[in-house]
Amino acid sequence: MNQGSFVRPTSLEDAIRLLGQTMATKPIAGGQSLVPSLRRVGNHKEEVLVGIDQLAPLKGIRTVDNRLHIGAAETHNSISSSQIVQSEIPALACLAKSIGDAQVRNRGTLGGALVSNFLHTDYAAAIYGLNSRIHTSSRVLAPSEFTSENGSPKIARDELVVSVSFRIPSRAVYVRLAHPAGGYADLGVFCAMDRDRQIAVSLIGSDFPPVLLSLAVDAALSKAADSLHQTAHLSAYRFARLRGLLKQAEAEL
Amino acid sequence: MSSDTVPAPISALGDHRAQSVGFELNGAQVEIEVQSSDVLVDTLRDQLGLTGTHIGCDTAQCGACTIHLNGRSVKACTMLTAQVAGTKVTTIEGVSDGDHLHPMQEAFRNTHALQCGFCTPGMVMRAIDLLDENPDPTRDEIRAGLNGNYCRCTGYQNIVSAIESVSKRCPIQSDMSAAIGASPPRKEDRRFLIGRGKYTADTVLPNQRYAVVVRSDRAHALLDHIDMRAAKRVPGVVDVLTGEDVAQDGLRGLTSSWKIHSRNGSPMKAVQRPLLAVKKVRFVGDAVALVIANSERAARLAALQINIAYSDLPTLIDPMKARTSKPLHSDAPDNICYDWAFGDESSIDEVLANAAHVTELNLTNNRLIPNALEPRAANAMFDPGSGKYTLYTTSQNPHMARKTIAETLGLESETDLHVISPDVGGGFGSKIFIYPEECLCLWAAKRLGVSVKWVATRAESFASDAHGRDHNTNAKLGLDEAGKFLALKVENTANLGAYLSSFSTFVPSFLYATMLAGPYTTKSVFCSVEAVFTNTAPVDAYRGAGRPEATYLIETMIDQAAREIGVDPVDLRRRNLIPSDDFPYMTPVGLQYDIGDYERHLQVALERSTYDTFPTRRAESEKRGRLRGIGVACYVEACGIAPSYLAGALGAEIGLWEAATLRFSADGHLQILTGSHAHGQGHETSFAQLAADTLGLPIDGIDVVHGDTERSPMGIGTFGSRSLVVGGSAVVRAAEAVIDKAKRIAAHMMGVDPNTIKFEKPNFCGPKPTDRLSIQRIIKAAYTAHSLPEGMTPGLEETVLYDPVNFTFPSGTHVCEVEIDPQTGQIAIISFVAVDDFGRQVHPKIVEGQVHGGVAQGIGQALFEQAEYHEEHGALLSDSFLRYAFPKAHQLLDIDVASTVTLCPHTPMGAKGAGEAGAIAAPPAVMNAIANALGQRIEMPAKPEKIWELYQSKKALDE
Repeated sequence: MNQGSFVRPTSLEDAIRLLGQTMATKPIAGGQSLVPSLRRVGNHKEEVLVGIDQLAPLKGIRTVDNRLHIGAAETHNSISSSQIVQSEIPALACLAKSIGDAQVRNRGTLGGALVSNFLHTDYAAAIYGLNSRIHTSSRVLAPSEFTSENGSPKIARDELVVSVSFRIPSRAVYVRLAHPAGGYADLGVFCAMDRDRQIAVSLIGSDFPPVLLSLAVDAALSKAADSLHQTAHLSAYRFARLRGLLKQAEAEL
Repeated sequence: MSSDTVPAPISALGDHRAQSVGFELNGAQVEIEVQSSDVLVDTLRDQLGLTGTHIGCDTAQCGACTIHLNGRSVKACTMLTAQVAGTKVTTIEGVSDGDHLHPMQEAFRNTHALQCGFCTPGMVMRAIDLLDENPDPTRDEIRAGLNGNYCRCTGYQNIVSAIESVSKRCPIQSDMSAAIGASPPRKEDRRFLIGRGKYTADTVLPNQRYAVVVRSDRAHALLDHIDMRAAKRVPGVVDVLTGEDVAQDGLRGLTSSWKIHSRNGSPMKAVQRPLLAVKKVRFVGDAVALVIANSERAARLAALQINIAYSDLPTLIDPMKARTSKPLHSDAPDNICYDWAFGDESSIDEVLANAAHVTELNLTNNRLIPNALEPRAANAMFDPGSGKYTLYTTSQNPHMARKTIAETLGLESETDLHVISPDVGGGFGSKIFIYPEECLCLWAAKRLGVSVKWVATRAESFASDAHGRDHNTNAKLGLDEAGKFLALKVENTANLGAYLSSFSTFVPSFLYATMLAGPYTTKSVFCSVEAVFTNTAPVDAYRGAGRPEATYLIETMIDQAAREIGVDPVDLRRRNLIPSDDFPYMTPVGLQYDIGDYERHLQVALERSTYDTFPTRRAESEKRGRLRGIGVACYVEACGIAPSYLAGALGAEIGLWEAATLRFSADGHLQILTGSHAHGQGHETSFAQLAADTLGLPIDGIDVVHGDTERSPMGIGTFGSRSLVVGGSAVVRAAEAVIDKAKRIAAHMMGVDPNTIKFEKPNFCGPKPTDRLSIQRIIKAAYTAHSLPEGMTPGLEETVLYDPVNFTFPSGTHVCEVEIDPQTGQIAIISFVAVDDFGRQVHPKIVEGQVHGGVAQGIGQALFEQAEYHEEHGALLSDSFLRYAFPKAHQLLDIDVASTVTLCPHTPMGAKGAGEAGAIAAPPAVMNAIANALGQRIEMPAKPEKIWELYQSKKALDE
């Protein structure tokens, strides 16, 4: 039977070089989506799995020029419990804490969430809402540049997500509606207010791509939902729930 | 590592790319060879023999495989083994310190926070880490912190208490006494807590091979061709077998063992389920081929290579369309298995026509998927020397499995098959039945000369375990001027799925209709049941089996009637409850209730739920824009699923007694060998208590042996809340027989008349104060046999097959209070009170656990659970834990459990059975509370969108 191998390069350059060697390579960090799917399908192709979770450039949480940089290999748990995240963007700490369950948060990474399911991950709400940048090993991408139409990340084979930089708002709130079975965000609303009191609202959902709305502070946030109603064809019920989340976010902001 | 350790390009690597991984495992350094794609959970279990880390799903959700990686809880199914190089891994086996349990393990045992033990290792690992993160959590925080660990048995309440007791450093002590009525620590818990439970998937047999079942992805189709060529070429594949091979070898199909007759006298259509599909598939998940290979991975890879050509046929999902759809089985051209009726329809119609008020409802009882945390499994071998088979399997009733499987395989005698049902991780009914897979493993084991193991994936469990409920019912309840129930007419359509599972035909007929009087004096009842085939998984008994469906119907009808005639629903119940001095009470549906005091548990439940002051709470909720409701459900159920004469009269092929052997070893230890099977119910403790209490022995020296057809006497197994009342009664009767023989030995030793011997536990006393012999002395005398009464056989061992004279009739009242946010439709259960009369409780904490778990499943049915098939192509939509919601810790609450007691007059201890009550009473209690809040009823499950939509349409009407 064909079996691949697992390697753990020690530098980003080595990792990139390895990933570029052949088509049959795949990066693995927390493995929360990848490993169960490998196990489930039982169809392990001949490939080299490149362990990237301990690469130094993919680690670290720091602020630079009013932006919060978080390494792609930081786990949801390290993000939610980070003093820096908690003081700079507490809503983001809260968001990371709402992902999956404790075991998933102990292993799953920011980068992994982005490449496996960017459009429907909780992080997308913050990434859109905070006009964030996704830093890869070769480029800096705006949120809308990160995925293609079908939601798959536009990342080259020999390119890795290195970090995400979030603009630090003066205030932000994240609220979500958990799916009763899966626990994932069926709907999520991220509201951020700038120092100039500009408000950005981003909406995510399990069945529509993120929507970003920029509004003046005195505009009613709930109007945001109306535009979504037209584009995403939400059921009346989910539309109502989204309005409710917007109201809640507005109240908490 | 530096860049020169980067491996050469793939082309330069050999085919066999094993790599060495070193890490600290449970305190010791290990170095093992693994494949890069090996997943940690498999390495731990298969390579390192640490089978305490369990596999309960394939989507990284259930948490049964939770371990510690560098001290933090992670799921071992989400990590490559290669990734743990250089880390510190702790599994459940490494948690205790030698013989000393970790405080968390100790707390789980003392708070009775485990039942079947399957989720327990992962739960304990998570719990330890939870307190590491947050040393002083609230109960809600504990619940939230457990959202990645599923338990289907306990309702989580005692798990939360265990964790809380560790955090508060105030250990809860168990009872020291093992007397009947005390709750000592369970004897089985230690092995579960240290990860040494032994489940079927943990077994490894000589020449072990692995089977994977290839299943139909079509709901209804002709099977044109199965192309196995590529699959057979996959390295490691031993063989691929199909339905034609099964037919060639002359194996029989499976069907229901309860023969029901239609009202016109014709027998039911006892269609056969071939072990592997022949010519046709009938539901998504139908077994089509069996791949056997040297490894599970190879078998799985080969299964992917099998190409099946189908010709699709029209799909029938909706049972109400059965008559007009293309038949599934040529034997049943209208898709009807039987059209059964009970009672006198014309006289009922007359009563209804003249009743002061008639309440009519159409209601559904939603289809459920049992989801025991341990997936079904089988491991089979054949010994050509003796010609005998051995089967390890996840069965609730190994002797019944032996009987049915032996018939299916065409064995000369059922004794040619040895069935071992070791630790089993929950059943709830779904593991009573005989499925094709265990038969196939045995057949393949002989045919191929290897041992064959099959373990279901969670996806297979969803698709192929027998589902539960699925009724569509029209009912009419006629009341007189005083609100007395005159007549109940029920016309039911029961969905049996594509084939007849073992008990399936009995559940919606006799188990259902005979409960339709409930705890009320309803004068007459008529029930008709049309049981239909559809292109869905077979439906069979699920926790309660017929009684939940009947209770839900009655209790829903009563609240509806109360709303219609404008009386309080409790008042309406009180007008109709069977008075406590009317027992024994003959119902119009053929049962004789022996004892009960329904008014009493109703009263206690109302007090504990402060029913009287509900209006104040409702007004307070209203001020906050919330709708508050309170719901009451009374029930009576029939447990034991015995006596045999009644079972025979109702169409059973077998007797339904239960057996126990009490066997003393010559050194004075006692083994109880029982035909009952425990998969969470704690028989190793409660059965030992029965013997200990009867014989005056310490519980420590008593071992309970179950789940092995060559060790235990023939028994019937565990279902219908029967184990303690029927199997436990057999234990008590056998203990009495032991005492009887011991008395005669004692009399002989003392030289006195046996009638003068008194048993003063644990001594046998003669007329003189010095005539005093301990039971240990008697045992010694019995086995040395140097001097026994004339004609007495040596030894001290007694077997009793106990057949009760009647069912037992537990009853109770559950009260639920909910608050609904009409803006979102979200329902919050504010309180839940369960007051049950189970008669004498041998081990009250085990009973409480059964109530917690039953209520949790009942709440699950009311609020979350719904098996859903695609109406057109018949795919199962609720096919994983991602899409089928059942309650997790944070979605439940602490429930208030209390009891009232009337002793069953015909069982030795006066016990009645407690396993299913929660699942019976909770759905109507919750749904009545919701209807009370909304002012009208909705169907289960009460999803928020239903409530929201209802509220929106109401609002539109108001405006």
